[in-house]
Amino acid sequence: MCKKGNEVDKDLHSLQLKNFMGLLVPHQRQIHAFILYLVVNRADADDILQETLVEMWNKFNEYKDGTNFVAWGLTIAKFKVLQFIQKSKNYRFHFDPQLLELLEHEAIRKNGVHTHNERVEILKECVSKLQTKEKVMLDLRYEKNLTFEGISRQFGVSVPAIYKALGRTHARLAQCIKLTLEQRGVA
Amino acid sequence: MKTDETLHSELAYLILLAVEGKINDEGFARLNDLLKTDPRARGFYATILDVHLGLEDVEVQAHFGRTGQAGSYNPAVLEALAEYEKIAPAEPRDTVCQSEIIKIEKVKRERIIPKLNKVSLVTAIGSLAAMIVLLVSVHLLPPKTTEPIAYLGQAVHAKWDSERGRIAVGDNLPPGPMHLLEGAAEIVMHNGATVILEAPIQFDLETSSRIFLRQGRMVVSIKNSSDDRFVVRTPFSTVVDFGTEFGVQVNSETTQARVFEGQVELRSGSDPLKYSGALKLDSNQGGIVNTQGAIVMADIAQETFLRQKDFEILEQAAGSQPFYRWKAYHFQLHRDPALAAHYTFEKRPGAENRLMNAAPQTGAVLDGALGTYGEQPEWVRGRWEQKAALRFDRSRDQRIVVAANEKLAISGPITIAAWVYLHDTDQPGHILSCRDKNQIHYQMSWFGAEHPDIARRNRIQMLRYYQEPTVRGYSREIRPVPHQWHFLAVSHDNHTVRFYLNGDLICEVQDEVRMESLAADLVIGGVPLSGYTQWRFDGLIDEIVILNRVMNTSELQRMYWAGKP
Repeated sequence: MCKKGNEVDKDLHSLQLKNFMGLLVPHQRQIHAFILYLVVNRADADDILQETLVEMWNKFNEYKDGTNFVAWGLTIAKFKVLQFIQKSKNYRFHFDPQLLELLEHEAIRKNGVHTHNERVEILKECVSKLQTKEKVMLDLRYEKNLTFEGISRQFGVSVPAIYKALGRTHARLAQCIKLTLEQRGVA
Repeated sequence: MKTDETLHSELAYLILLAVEGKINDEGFARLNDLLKTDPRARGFYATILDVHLGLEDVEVQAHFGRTGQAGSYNPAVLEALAEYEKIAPAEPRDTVCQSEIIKIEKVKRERIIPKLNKVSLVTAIGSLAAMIVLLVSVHLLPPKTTEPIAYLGQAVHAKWDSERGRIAVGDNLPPGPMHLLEGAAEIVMHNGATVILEAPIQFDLETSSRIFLRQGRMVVSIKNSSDDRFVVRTPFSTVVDFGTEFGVQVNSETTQARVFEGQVELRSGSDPLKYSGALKLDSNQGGIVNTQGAIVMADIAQETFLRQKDFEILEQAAGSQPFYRWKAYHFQLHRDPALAAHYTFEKRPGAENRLMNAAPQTGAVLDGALGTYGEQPEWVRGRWEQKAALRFDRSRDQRIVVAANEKLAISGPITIAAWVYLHDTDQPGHILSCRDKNQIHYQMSWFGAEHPDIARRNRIQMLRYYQEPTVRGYSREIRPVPHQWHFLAVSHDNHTVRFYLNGDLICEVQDEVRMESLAADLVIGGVPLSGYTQWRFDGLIDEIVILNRVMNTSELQRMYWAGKP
């Protein structure tokens, strides 16, 4: 049976979306992390990621099969970050252009050395090594989504104390990851 | 130069503030400076941010350990943590990042709202649908608690997976995954909602007003209004209740929702708060969301779902009440897309002159009219006291007519089944006929010992032919037994006719038939021809089922055992 023009368009659209999702899903976190490296604020990074994904989809026709999808995505992401900074120039908390370039290099270097899955595996090991009180804190913040104010009420300590404690836990985890990677010779 | 440890602590603290949007000018300047001047800081900065993102990964969260519900931590742990804060060694002065130096303040941001072209916006929203599914799934992390949030209200032949072990009616249910392998069950949520589950189904109880449905179907009924909206999340959509009864079905490709009463909102994406598209559904409306997040309105048959009233029938059926066993079987039969007509012979008050078709796909358009030709057959007690049958008297013309309809013009494979009863003096005859003179789509009869044609006496007839009369299509001899209900069934795949009595295959005959579709009335209790008075049915007919496919022996046995009085 012959298909009508709009049916063909629909089929093509579905196929294209399937291809796009197939490429995006394994690398979305990498793109997200890259944006976060450049803007550091989580809410900004989420906004920019959404704009980046829309742009990637709109320009997917321009992506050449077999070329580096992540590199293509990161180029668009960087453009979106710069666009965001320009639009919100009255906003104080942006890294200066020189630092942005350095951070971008660092992000690309890291991506080339180890994968997101490797980092997650190592992080799981490192979390297991934490003390109970540190795991409690992480659980409240990341699994139960409590605010810092909520956690401080739970523990009867000040909000800055919670920031300090959580900051220290992050530092311990980062050191643990660094050490593990060094031991594996991939840092 | 700072030691690594000191640098890491300071950086981690500054980064945490920055990620959370709580950093101030001084802190941000310090972060900028550190990153610019110290390559070690840049390396560590990226790792710290990996930690932030990684901690939001559910796989990593599984390693936090089960610490209980927020607010119900072991007091010893709380105490230890508070104590830890008091005795923690002071950071060196030169680390700067002490709370007394960098005050945490809420920074008011000037958000720049870009001007958007409406067309691009619509395109973007559409394109985002699929991606949002991925984005939001990261954010929605159901709170975990071991406190019960529901209890098992009722169960019918319910068999659960081994993970939860045996679950008895009345057992409290904490949050967590559940898998109903067989049967049906009702869960009562602590917010008052009831959820009817039909096996097989896999889902997670998340909170007293939220369920994550992985696969299968459920019906949620919220009779008592609550401030909390009841939410059913699925892998790629969310159904938000606005005070109602609704069904949700999930398979690998779609989420389907149907509203029975009230209103729900069907949203793309599994996060009820962040979604790219939404569709409000009112009573008797349905909608579908696919894996890409596209939402469309759709007709979804109400028989797709097991509702409260159906569940009650199942319960009564489980209690060995044959009438309810028969009613419970209808849930299965009515989901068969090949079901063309199902006359249950249930007398409806105010509609005594109609024979109702209960098949959901064809419904009222195939209702029969009593007394079209002459008199109405008489409503009498059927197989059970809860239902009726129709008594046909051969001496009177009491045929029932269903107006010609393409749904009944079956020229391909077919199955017909009927429950009939004969008194001492009754003589069976034509049960139903769909024909236009010598073009016979199908005609099912059972002729008694007094039939004028000796060759047809005591035989079941399944007649199908086009123009050319045939003598094929007769069973071996089967004598009717008075005062007994008989379940007769015939099937024909256009090559072979198979005859069944009480679920057993009694014989099959070759009968090659090629039919052409035609418009003809369906007549019950006789044929649409004048004369043939000695061929009319004389006795009780209690149920008729017509399907446009061939049912096999086990299916017909199931139908027999479901309807056996």
